[in-house]
Amino acid sequence: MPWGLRLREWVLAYLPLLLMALLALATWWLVKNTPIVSAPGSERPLRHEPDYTMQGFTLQRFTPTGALRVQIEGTQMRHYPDTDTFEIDEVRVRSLGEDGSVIRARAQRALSDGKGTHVQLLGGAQVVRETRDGQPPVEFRSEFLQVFLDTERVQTDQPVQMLQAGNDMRAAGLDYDHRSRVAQLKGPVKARLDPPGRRR
Amino acid sequence: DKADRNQPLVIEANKPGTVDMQKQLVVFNGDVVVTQGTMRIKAERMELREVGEGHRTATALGVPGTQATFRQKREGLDEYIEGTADRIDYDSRSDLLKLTGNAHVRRLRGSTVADEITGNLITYDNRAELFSVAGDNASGGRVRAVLTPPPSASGPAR
Repeated sequence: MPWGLRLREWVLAYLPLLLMALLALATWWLVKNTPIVSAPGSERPLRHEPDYTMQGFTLQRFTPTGALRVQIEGTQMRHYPDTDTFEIDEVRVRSLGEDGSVIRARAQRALSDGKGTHVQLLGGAQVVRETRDGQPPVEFRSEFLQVFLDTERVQTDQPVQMLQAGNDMRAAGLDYDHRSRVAQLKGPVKARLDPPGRRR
Repeated sequence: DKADRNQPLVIEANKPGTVDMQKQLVVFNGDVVVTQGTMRIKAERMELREVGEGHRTATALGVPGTQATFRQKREGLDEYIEGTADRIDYDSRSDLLKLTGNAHVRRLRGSTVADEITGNLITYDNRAELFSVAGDNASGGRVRAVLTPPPSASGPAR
């Protein structure tokens, strides 16, 4: 059989195989050159940017029994996913304790952790604690106040003013534990108490 | 003097202090100075207790070496009462001042010492401006009082 015929014979027999080989080559080339789509956002370091913000908001948190526990208002709130913290401008907080005690706090800016148990108030911070056992309310004023809602403590290392029914005390720092109702004042301390017998 | 009673109490101290709202007790430390009108008490440690209706008791404690001191102007006279003791107690309700622990009380006319009383316990009734002094009989405490007549009575002074 002449070699031309044998060649054609051979080509016809192996044509499908050749085509398949060509195709395999093409797909291999395709896989090689397609750009790797970066994994969706996981490796990228989280930038300290808010993932959601709220304007002129009121946020309320309730106990399982449905009673209002915490109400937070402010002009703007930003939530930062990387540190899971909230930043609130012009904040006003009202927290109701089981024993009926009320904590009201306000400041120009507040930083709070995700669960809202550790709140740092910055700029004209004021915390007022009212209790139901007949004691007059206590008010703390400072440029920086740390409020720990779960352990009921108010702390600051900045100059602070503590007011209670006509008694005005100023100190260089404060650590108030509401459970024991004891405030440790860092010296120097200056107090101005109402004269006896005259309640303002 | 009398006007002191309704003056605000101003207290300064430079060491850490504590405020216990449960016991209505305020403690100041570190050369504490309490002023109320013309009255002034200095001590190393001061405890102030609210005893209801706005009245307070104050306990001023000196430390070995520096006693607590008290100074007040007398009503309508250019005279001052000065006292030092290991411990000074003041009760605003009874307006009574108790100086205990080698107490000295001097009455000063201007800068000269008119009377001087020493003893273990001196109580000064602010309202009646009355002193009473007691030695502590445990150590056979003696009481010493040096009283000088007012200058007008003794004619031209020496």
